[in-house]
Amino acid sequence: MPKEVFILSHAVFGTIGALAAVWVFVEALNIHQENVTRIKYMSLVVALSVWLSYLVGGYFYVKFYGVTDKTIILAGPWPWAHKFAMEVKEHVFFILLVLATYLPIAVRDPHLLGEKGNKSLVLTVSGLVMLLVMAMDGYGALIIMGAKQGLLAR
Amino acid sequence: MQNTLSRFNAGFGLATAIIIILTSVLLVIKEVNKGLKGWFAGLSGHHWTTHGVLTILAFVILGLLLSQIRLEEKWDAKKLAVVILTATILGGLIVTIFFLVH
Repeated sequence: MPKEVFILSHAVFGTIGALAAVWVFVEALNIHQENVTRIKYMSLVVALSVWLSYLVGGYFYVKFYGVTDKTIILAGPWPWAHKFAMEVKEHVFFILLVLATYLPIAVRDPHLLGEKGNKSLVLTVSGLVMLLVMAMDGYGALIIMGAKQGLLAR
Repeated sequence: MQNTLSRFNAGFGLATAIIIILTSVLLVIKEVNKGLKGWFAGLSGHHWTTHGVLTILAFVILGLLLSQIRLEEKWDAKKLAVVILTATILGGLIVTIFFLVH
């Protein structure tokens, strides 16, 4: 399988995760009996998408990135695209993964409808997932630009 | 105080905050201590893979343990939201600042 499949799947699953997190956030803003089931299903989509993004992105990172892209970036004019952007991305992803795994647990609390604090909790976690996926997208763009700069400088 | 959280929500919520800080601190320790980084790499073939497996294992184990200590009797959801938000900001700052100065 071409290695590009893994990196493109990583971005696609991440984007689905972000969209699902926005969905959960908006539904939670107007939470009522009728949309609780949707919130529960979409929180699973968030967790599943972020996990798939982590697994395929991680496979690409461990198997291919170090031997090709990293070498090109470090030899090019934007070495910080690896030394800063990639290093931060690969480790902040653990924070995102833990939050996305916790979200389905938070929305399954039986007190979700009756207690306003639970709504704030779901808004906080889904909002953080949303922002962190967007940050991952931004870092991903910087890494791609770093590789492009490296190739152009050859 | 009337409970406003289920025990799993309280336990895994606090575990989320603790693990976010621990995984960020582990990154700093791992990057500073090359011996530990090499040991991590030896365990799974790559230090990042081992770091990820440890993070998830610790999250599950800590979440299950904290779910047993009746945290929901002392904590409410708003307090948990503030703790998770603070931990995420702190964890993000630890990772970002470390690589800015490293």
